Amino acid sequence: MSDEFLLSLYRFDPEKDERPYMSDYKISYPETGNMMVIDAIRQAQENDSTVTFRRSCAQGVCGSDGVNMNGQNGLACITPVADVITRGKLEVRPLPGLPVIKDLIVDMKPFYEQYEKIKPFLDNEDEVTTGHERLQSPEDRDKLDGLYECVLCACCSTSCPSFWWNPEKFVGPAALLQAYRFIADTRDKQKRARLKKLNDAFSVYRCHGIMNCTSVCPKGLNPSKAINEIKKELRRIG
Amino acid sequence: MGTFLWLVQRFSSLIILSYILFILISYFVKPYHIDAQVWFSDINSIQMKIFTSLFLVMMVGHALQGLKAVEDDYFTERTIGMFLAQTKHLAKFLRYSYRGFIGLVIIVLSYVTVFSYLMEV
Ligand code: SF4
Ligand code: SF4
Ligand code: FES
Repeated sequence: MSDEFLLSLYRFDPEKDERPYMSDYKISYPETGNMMVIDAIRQAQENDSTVTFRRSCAQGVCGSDGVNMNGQNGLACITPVADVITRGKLEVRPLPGLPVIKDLIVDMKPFYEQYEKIKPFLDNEDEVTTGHERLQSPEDRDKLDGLYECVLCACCSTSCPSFWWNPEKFVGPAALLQAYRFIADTRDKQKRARLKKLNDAFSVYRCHGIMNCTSVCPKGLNPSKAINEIKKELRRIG
Repeated sequence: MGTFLWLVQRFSSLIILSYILFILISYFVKPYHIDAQVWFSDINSIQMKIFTSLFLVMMVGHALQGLKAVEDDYFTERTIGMFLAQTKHLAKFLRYSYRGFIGLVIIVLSYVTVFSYLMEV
């Protein structure tokens, strides 16, 4: 293995540039040989402080550093360079389908608007009789596994062609996974209303089951399965 | 509405599939390749006229949903502008031309079906 590789970064500053371009940086592997994409971007930033990139936790928890690496969406902090590099070159671009604010940073507003639409909170007006919290059986709690762990990184929704073309009308895999998280929660009392709100030609049914979402989720979740569960529930209520 | 359209799509595909299978199987069972007259009288029978009309209606219903999805995805300012920003204002024109073309195809298809097939004795 060579001890260097080429990192090509998408650059665009709307205040200065007429169109986007790619900048190349020579990156050297650390002695251990292990390197995450975030470390490579950091090295590029040391040479060129104008490279703009968003991140926080650096351990796959905050979901703020979703990018497209050699064509595949993922979190830069938990993606090893070795997993995405091809022929000594790694191209990093912003998440596709969202407006670029600067370089690798996208405007997540359209994504959050869909999240807001599905009302991501327990809706239950019944009085709490236990004095402290709403109880749930361990079996009912198990139904939420694989749903609540989402970090809202948008890697799935921005890899979905249906979301690229109709981000205002198609809820997208991330928000649909969260919609199902509340539909499946026995403590929520709005199951029917939630389903009814999704029953149009776009919100859920625009998903054609191609499963890009599931194949890119850095947390190993399965939005496509959750979408199918919503479709099943919709058919059940007619 | 979403579930209803989904059901239409599934139901129509069943009718379409059964019509195609029926035609294919009858080709092997009946002596159509020897005697064209048998084919003519079969396809012009009242049962086949009903089945064929049902097939065509289902085809149109099924195809319209797919074609609408193509329109929603591709004939928009966003998608057209993605390929060439200066052409995005053409989206509306393209969308209406596309609808017009599909409408025309449906009218021609219905005309031919009614006057050259269903009303033929
Ligand atoms: S399975 Fe559905 S939501 Fe997931 S990428 Fe495909 S169309 Fe999008
Ligand atoms: S489902 Fe996965 S890819 Fe989608 S937003 Fe959540 S963590 Fe990210
Ligand atoms: S920086 Fe927080 S998930 Fe990558």
